[in-house]
Amino acid sequence: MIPLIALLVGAILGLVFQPTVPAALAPYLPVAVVAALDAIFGAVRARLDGVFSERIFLVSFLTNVVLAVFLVYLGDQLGVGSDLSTAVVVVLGVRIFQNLASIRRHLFRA
Amino acid sequence: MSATSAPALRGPLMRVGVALACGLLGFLLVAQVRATESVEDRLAGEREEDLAQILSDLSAEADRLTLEITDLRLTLLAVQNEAEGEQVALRSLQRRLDDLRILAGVVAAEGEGISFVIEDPAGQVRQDLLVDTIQELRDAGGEAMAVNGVRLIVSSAFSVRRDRLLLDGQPLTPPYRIVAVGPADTMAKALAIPGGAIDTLEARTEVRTTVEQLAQLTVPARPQTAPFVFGEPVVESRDGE
Repeated sequence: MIPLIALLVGAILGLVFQPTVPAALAPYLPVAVVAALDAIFGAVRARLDGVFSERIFLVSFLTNVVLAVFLVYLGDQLGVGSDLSTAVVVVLGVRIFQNLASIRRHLFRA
Repeated sequence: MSATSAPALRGPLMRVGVALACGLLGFLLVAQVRATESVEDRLAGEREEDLAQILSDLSAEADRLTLEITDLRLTLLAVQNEAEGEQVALRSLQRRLDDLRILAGVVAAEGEGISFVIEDPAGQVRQDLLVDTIQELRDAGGEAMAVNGVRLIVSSAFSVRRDRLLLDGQPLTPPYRIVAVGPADTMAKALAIPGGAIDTLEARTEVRTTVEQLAQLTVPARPQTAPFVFGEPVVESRDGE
């Protein structure tokens, strides 16, 4: 419950302060957000499986975000541009889908 | 102590961490969505005339920037040309400086040339014959010369003191070995013309000469030259002409 409230508070803060994304961070933010979403859905699934650990969630949240941003940065440096960021988004998207399928089974028993 | 307090402390701390992470995600999510939307939003909200205005503004800006690029390219070309011109001028000045250094004898000179040896056991050769010989070599295109290792320069002079032959104050003793950088073939032929230097020299008692053409020889530099005391350079103004 508290995490959900925190999420809402963060969103409201974002709406209130209307932050502008610095140009230097613009390529990395979308991937970071998708990576964080993946961590969140993984956490919900673990909660429903009864194996949720706050420590694991925090570690996976941080490593997901850092690794995703690093991969995009690496792609820029290697000259493959946005291709690597697409790859990261695709992989994270697949994981989100898997987590959602697992959550769905828990919730609807189907 | 720590075994009991650490888990008790870790629980709430972790929960705060999870809440912070979720809050951060919400914040970033909104920021990203807004960043994506903002440009489209702004344009979508404009009226048609305003859009046309924005478009024409952007086109004008693009034209201006294209012009600026062209200007800068031209400037770059001009600067490059100028730099090349300076390089060429520098090279020709360097070449002229080299010529003058060789002429003045402050540097050793090397190249094709001849070695002319005059054997004179009876002491028959005087300064007038040496001057004639050197004159002949100069006439044939000889550039840098030395007699018995003493470089000949513009102020060089032969003289006689107490019956001894001197070149710029240095005693000269036979055999005299004249080395000259220049067109070897021409100089050798110039010395050998009938009635020329070799004929005149060998007409004297016991005088023998040898000419050797060399593809590569070195004429030494004059270590130091006496400074000019009376002469001053006349400054010519180039702009007036």
